[in-house]
Amino acid sequence: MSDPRLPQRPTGDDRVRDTLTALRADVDVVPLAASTDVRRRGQARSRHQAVVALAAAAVLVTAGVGAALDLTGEDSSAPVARTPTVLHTATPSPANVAPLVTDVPAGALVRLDDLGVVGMQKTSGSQGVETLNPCLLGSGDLVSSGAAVFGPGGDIYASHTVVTQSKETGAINQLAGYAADMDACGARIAQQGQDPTVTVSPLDLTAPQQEALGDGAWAFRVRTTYAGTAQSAPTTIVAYAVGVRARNASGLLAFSTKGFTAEQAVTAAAAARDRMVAVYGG
Amino acid sequence: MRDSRGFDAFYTGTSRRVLHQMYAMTGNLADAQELVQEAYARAWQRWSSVEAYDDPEAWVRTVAWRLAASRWRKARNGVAAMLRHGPPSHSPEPSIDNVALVTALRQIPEAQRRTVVLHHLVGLSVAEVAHEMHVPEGTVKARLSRGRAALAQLLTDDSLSEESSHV
Repeated sequence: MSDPRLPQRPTGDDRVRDTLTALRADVDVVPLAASTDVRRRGQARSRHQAVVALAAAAVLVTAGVGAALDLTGEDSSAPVARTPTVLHTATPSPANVAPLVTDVPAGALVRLDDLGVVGMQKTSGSQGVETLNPCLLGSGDLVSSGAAVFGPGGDIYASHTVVTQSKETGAINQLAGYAADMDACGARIAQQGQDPTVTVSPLDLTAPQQEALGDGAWAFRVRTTYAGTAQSAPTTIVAYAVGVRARNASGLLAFSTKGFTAEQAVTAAAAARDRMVAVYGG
Repeated sequence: MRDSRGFDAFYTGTSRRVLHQMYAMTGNLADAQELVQEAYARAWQRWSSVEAYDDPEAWVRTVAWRLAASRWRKARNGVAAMLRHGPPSHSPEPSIDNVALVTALRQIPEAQRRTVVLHHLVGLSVAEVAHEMHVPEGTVKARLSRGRAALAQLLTDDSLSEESSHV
């Protein structure tokens, strides 16, 4: 019989509970996003899902590489019961999604043959832009319709998002606004004092390049560095971001430096703009 | 119309706890942070329904777990590496004291880890864990027993090797 005056040896359950609770020390120093940011992210998702649900998704597979890739994934936001029970694949209902921003015909979007790459194209939304370029995150109106292009290894190579306005002046102002946002992106993210670190620098466009991209077009090089953790080394992603406009439509393109040089990115953006012009006019 | 104040209060009151749970489940703070934010964003998408649930936090926790499981599957396919480039807002390293624990947690099977976290950290009863994971209570008990034993062994091995290195 144990002596009640002696300290009790912790049980196995206590030890597990204590060790798990000890992780709290790490968690307490992690800043959490503001709830407004989380809500904004949810709203952006709703718009994205609406596009996915309503647009005619065109998946073009070349060279047989797409078949090996599982890019569709599973929608983990499937409805969960009050006390989670059976999970289903989600289909956004009209009642719980934000209004559709725009409906962009697939013909207006960049294509694999514009880029001269072998890979897989997914015409569904702007996730590619987000992946390549954190400066475009949080802009809810960017989550409209677009195309993402994946290279043979499954890495994202390029993306193209188009937002239309009712008038030409709206698109002109929007493109200029995007340029200003991009230019200020590094400072804006630095001000938040959080990962990642972003450096944005304008690309010097030659006169022929500027002409090919059209009035008001711009191009930036965006270098994004995410801090490492105990389990992973720091990661740096370099991308080119290009803004172009057809009449009442502004287009945002992002290109990974893995697949493209700056010159190739600008050439591909010009080809993408040609597609936009063919649909919306010059 | 969704109640943003109600959501904000829910987020403020529960998100750090869910982050703690997801950290224990994933063993990676940056991943846990991203998963939690995504799960709450999805909760906001359908907040008018979720807020009426008996336990909205359980809904968020389940979605976050499913996201984690989905990413692991994709990672195994070698495709989702790009998704990992998403923007965790901050990813400090675990404290030195917790490295061994995090390492041990990552070494036990997912199902055992989730069971251990739900029971010992979230505080659910065996019956509640069984309900949340859709498995019989006997399975939960077995996973708890094996998970605890594996953790104890891994942590003891760590401690022993650390002690011997100081000899």
